[in-house]
Amino acid sequence: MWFYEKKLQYPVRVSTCNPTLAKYLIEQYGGADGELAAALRYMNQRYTIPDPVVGLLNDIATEELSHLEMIATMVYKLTKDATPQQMRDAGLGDHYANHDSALFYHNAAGVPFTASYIQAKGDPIADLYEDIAAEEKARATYQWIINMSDDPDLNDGLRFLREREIVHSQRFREAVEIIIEERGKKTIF
Amino acid sequence: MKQQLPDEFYQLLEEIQALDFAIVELTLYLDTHPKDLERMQQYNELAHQSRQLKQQFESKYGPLQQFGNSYTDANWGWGTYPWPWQI
Amino acid sequence: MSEQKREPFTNMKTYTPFHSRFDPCPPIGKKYYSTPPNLYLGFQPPNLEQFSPKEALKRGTLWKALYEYYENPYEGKRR
Repeated sequence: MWFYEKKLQYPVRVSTCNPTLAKYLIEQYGGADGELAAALRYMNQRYTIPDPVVGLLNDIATEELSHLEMIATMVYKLTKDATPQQMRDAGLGDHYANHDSALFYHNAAGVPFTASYIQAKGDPIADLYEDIAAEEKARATYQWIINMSDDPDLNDGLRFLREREIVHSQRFREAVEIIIEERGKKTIF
Repeated sequence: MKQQLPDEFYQLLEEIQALDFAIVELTLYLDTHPKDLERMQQYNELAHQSRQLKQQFESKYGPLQQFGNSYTDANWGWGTYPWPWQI
Repeated sequence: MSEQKREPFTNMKTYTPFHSRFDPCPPIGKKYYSTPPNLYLGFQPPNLEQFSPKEALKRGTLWKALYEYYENPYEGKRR
């Protein structure tokens, strides 16, 4: 069962009025290595993963939804006050023609979200390695967006999100060790 | 048009965010280290502190949760202060 | 911008792509890739040093050993 808490996980601030950044941020909203993909991937895998690791998948999935909300907040703040002309100048004309300044689940290139971005093989090793890879890909994506952004407050938020990917990757690596290790099992000679 | 929020709103919210974030970190850690009693103790202490701060926050600014996890006031406060992506 | 870097070493590695004399553009020189602490930590041992909750929120983790500040390594390369 899910409950919602009416606060962001991290206090997102955007200090520069630069709607162009929204075009890149949306990659982490509806893109292949973004927060929605992550949340759905882990949420779905958790049914068929060995018991010791279900909690981790459940909890990281939940946290990813809060990150989705953070990205949405960044995009919303950058586009809510943009005129049609400003949207066009920012390279968001394609998006505006379809959505005005409503958010939508597509990537920076406009490709809509698809379940093909995620996988659940039912094999815990395959699933967990996919999860580690997903976290590393998300980390890299945040780096590329930070590289393109001059907004110091926005970048602090992006650095937070990048650091979360590092921690999640760490936990998934531990999960692999948990399910491959014979911890606690008695060795009979 | 909703009113502007005072500094205290942001300050108190950020204190809660800090506590809750530490709690999330400990949750993930404990998911892979389920026998670490000291961390469990720290987790419960932080959970307690967070609840106290949230009580303070909610008494001033309305409920943080719905579906019965926060009590409501007579104004259905759930809708009366700005949403997280607005502040 | 660099005052936040505390570590004596960097978690950024480099390589230099081969540049052919027939390449049309000036060479990019060093390409950078990040090698964050999760690659080296192994299974997290107990009792690692923590940040205060306020610090942790800013940095994105409770654990000092897992923290890595990121800045654009191509910052000086505007042409």
